[in-house]
Amino acid sequence: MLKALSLIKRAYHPKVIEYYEQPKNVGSLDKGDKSVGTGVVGAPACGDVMKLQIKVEDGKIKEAVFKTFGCASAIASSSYATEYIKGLDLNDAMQLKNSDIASYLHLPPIKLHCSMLAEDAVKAAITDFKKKQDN
Amino acid sequence: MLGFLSRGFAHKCKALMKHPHYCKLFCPLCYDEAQAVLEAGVNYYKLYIMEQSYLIDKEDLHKKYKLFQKVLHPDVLRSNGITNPNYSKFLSEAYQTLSCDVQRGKYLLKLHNENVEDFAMDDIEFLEEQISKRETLQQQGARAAKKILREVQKDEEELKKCIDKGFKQENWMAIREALSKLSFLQKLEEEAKDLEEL
Repeated sequence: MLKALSLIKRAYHPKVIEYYEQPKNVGSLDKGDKSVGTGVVGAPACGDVMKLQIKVEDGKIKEAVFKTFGCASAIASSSYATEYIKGLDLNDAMQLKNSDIASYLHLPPIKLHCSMLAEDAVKAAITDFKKKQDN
Repeated sequence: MLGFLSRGFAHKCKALMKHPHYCKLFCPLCYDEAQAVLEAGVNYYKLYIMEQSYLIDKEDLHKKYKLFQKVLHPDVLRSNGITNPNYSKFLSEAYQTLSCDVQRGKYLLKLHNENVEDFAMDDIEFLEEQISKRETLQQQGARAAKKILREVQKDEEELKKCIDKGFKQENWMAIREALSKLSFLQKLEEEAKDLEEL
């Protein structure tokens, strides 16, 4: 186990490890709540799955939480994404690019798809919220 | 000129080369021809003398793999004066592709000249089920692993049947979707197995 941990430490950038060891905003919100948007995405290539939820008040993202099952980069990407969009209004949050996440976490090219997954999750959550308001 | 054929090798070679197909592919006597065949790219199914279908006899594949590897291991070849070690690597690549349910499906799609890019998963219900199972595994550990493993393996069998049917009906979309789901299930199975072993 210790050996495995030290391997992780060597392979990942300190920023990723920081988020992996103490991920911020892990959790879930009530899916049935009208002010909550849920995004569920998955990457077949690596089998990672991600759920990201937002709670919106007055057009602003008041809360953002996630649950990710996958590698350290996927967990760090979704955790950083929730942090990033918290407090933003929906249009600004929609502008989040996977490259913002990747450069902040210093993801290597082989892990870029983790940041894309997080971007997809954010967009899916916002889309889900908007759809709920139309109904 | 045939000095490299030590008695031991010739004996093993004969055992393996009973099949004319293999004689052509790997027998050192047919070396030049074999080289040309390999370079042209050999169909993995033909390599392992199997019918080109999605569902395969994995035990048969494994047995052949072991036998061929024994005879064509680089050390064996080298000790017989053959310096081209490609055989062994090629056998491994083919074996790994054919033995993995997802890779085999993608390979077969490729043989049909179909797109093998990953299917963007939009079956939310399926993904939610995956998340909830991964969560259960994380929370309950080995206790839940057995049950989840059983469920996953059952689901995998269903999907494999669905993929096989897809190939028979040439329903490429259905195949791609099922292969994509199968990738997630394999990951879940891996995690459950790890926990069970702890």
